[in-house]
Amino acid sequence: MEEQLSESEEKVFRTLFASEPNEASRVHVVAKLKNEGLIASKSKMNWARMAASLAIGLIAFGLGWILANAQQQQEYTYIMVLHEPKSFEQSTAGNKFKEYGQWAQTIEDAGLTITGEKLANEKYFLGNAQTTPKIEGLETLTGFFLISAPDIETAMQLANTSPHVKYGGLVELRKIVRE
Amino acid sequence: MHPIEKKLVEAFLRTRSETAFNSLYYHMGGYLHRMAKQLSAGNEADTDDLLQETWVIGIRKLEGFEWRSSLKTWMVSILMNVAKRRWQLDKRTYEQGVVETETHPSSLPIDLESAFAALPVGCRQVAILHDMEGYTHEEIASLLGISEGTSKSQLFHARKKLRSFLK
Repeated sequence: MEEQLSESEEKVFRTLFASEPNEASRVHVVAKLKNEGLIASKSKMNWARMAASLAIGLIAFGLGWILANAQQQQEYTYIMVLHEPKSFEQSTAGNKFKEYGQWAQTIEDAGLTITGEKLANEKYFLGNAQTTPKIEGLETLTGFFLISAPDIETAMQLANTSPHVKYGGLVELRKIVRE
Repeated sequence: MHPIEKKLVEAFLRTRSETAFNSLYYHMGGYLHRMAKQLSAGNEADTDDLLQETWVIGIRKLEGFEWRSSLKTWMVSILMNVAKRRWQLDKRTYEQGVVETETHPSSLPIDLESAFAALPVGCRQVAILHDMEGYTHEEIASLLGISEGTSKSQLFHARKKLRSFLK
C-alpha cells in the first residue's frame, strides 16, 4: 500500500512541516511551568534573596558585622547590552537559538549566573525630546544579558564567545556599579 | 549515549532554573513546536496547550527518565499521548478514522497546509511521525498503540489527500 515519495513531493512535504522555534510558545511554556512550581521563578528567587540580604544587613548593622561580600558574590556584575547593526544576520534558524542556549549553559556550568531578556522593537523616549538619541538606522538595541563574571577579562571572554558576536552583532559591555 | 541531552537534563535538575530549562527547550529547537502545530492544524491556542501539557508532564517525570531512548523520542511520545487524550483517540478511532475527505476543488487556490489540517488527527499524527520525523511503521504502531497495518493505511490516505492538492 505504501509507496515512496517522489523527490518533488518530498520537497513539498518538507516545506509543509518546516517550522521555526516559536519564542511566544516558549514564554507560555515557561509561565505554565512556573505556575506549576516546576521551575524556579526568578522574581520569587530575587525576592527571597532580597529578603535574606535585608535580614542579614539588619543583623550585621545591629552587631557591627559586615557580611555583605558573601551575598555580593552571586550578584550580576556586568551587563552585556546587545546591539544589532545592519550587518547582523537576521536569520532565526533553530541552530541559532540552540547556540544561545548552549552558550548560556556553559556559563552556568562554570558556576556563574546569567539571565537575559529580548527587547521589543517599539521604543518610547520620554523627557526632553531634543535630547532623544539619534541612532536610528545605525544600530538597534535588541536585548541584554546580565552575568556574574568575577572580572572584566572573564566578562570580555564570555561576550566574545557569544553567538551575538558570531552573527555580526555588537555587544556593549559595562560593569554594574554598586555603591 | 545522548551526552548533550544528559548534560542539559542534569543541569536543569540541579538548578531548576529558567536558563537551564531554556537550554533544554532550545535543544529541541522547533521540533516539538512543529509537531504540536501540525497536530493542532495550525491553531495557535491548541498548539500552546499541547506544548504546555507536554512539557509539564515531561518535567514532572524527568527525574525518573531512564534514558532507554533519546530525550526527543521520549518527549515526542508524551506529546502524542497528550494529543491522543485531547482528541480522545483510541485504537478504534484510528482504524475508523480514515475518512475519505473531499477532493480539492480546482477552483480554490492550492493550500497544502489547509489540506493537511483537514485530515483526521490520527492521519496527521502518522504522517508527521513518518514523513516528517522518519519513524518506521513499527515505531509508530508502538508509539500510538495501533497495528502496523493501520499506520500504513493512515499514511496512504494522508498522502493521497495531499497529492490531490499537488496536481
